Amino acid sequence: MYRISAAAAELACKPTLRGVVVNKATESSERGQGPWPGTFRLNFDRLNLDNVEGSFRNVLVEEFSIRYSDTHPVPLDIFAVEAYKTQRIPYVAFPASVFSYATLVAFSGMMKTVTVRWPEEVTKRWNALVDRISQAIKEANESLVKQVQQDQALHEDLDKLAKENEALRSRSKLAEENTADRERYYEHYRMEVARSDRLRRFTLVASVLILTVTAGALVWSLIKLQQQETRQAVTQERLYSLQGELQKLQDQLRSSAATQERLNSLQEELRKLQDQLRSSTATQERLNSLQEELRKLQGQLQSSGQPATQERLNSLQEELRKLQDQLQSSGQPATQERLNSLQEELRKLQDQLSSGR
Amino acid sequence: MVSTLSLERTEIISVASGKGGTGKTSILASLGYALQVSGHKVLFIDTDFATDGLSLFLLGPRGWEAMSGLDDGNTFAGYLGRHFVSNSQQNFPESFKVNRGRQDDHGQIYDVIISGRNLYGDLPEQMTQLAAPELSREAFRRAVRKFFDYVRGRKEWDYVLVDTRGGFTFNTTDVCALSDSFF
Repeated sequence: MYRISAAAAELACKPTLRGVVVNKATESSERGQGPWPGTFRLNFDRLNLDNVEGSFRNVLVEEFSIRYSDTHPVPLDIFAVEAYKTQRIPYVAFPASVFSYATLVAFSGMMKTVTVRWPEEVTKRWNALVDRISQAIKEANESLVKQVQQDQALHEDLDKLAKENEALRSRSKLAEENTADRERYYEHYRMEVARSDRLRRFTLVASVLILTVTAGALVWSLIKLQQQETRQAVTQERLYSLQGELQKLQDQLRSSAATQERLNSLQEELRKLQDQLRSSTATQERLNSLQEELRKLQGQLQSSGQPATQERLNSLQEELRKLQDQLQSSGQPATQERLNSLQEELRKLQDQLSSGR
Repeated sequence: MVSTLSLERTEIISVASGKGGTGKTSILASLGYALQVSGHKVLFIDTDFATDGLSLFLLGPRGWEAMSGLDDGNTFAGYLGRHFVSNSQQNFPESFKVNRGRQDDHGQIYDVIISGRNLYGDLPEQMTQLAAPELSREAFRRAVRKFFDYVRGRKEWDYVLVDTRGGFTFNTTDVCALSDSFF
């Protein structure tokens, strides 16, 4: 500044200092009040530029003896840089930018002394440019406010959704735990059902087996009982028969005691005859005599209706067998025939005994 | 859209800054646009043939096509070169129209005196020497003063906006000192 003044003095010129533009201003109490860090607060069309770069502007005032109002801050604006890089005019490319607003404010202040000389039409057009920028800023601010409100609404929705999400997550966790409990319970129930089913099947099989065995045992018992009853009936019948026979034998014995004695006598004779046969001295006559006696005895028995006892007959049969053996060993065929005859008679006697029983 | 409205006097406004990259070209171009849209006749002059910022900005993405018909007579550096050689008053640079008139672009047609011809680095070395002469401070002052007086005398523009080199070398301080106003 001093150098310019010095040069002007040397050149005998008096250029007017229209003002000092503090471009790319960053210091401001307004900055940092916007929706994002480092930005100006909303509605910067009402931005108070007096507070921007205040300290530096005060230094300028003191250093160059100018009025504070002759210093014009233009805040740092990325849109101004973008416009310069792309060789576009900020008022056209970014009319709603801080740069557009601040430079127009600065130019109005700087050109204040000459605008009074401007024709009315020029002033109107200048004001139209200012209005256009103001309108653009207003619309941008409205849009920005709307966007901020939408952002806030979105953030609120996001917070709400986050809370709902948290609640849902808790419920989901609880539901998962419940599901796990139910699955464990169901698994336990399923195992119990399976075990119960196995037990039921086992019980059923065991019951069937027991019933089968019981039924078999019952049937077997019934059969056995029936057999026993049958045997008992037979035995009973036999007992009755034996009692009858015993009764008859007792009667026969009582009525033919003599016959019994005779029979004993014959038995004695047969024993003697047997002794004789053992000594090979028995005779055919004696056998015939014995036969005759047997016949008589048989006749007596038949006449008396009392058959000889079995034992007695057996005894006779045994004696005859021995006699037969003696005859065979002695080589006497007549004796053999006699023995056969005796055997025949004995058989008849037995038949009689059997039929009489 | 160029208005027929005109002020009685041409005001030359320069912009200066203690260093490069402060955004003075953006501010100056924006001011020029606002003035032109308001109906003023505006001439842009780029005296910063070190960076050619204003020239490149106004010429736009297809600037090399717009420069095809230009020569040193349309550049500030060319003017200084001719002044260095002949010190003639007849060699003032002529502005030319840069058409950024499409509505999706700037929507304006600018009067521009660009800084030099070697904006895109496509000139041979012997031509660039002329495009960026190293004048003495006195010679520079004389050249700028004559040029500004010539511009004022044409009474063709309401405002002439002059972009300067960053820093406070005499190329910047003297341009500002010879302007009607600066910021």
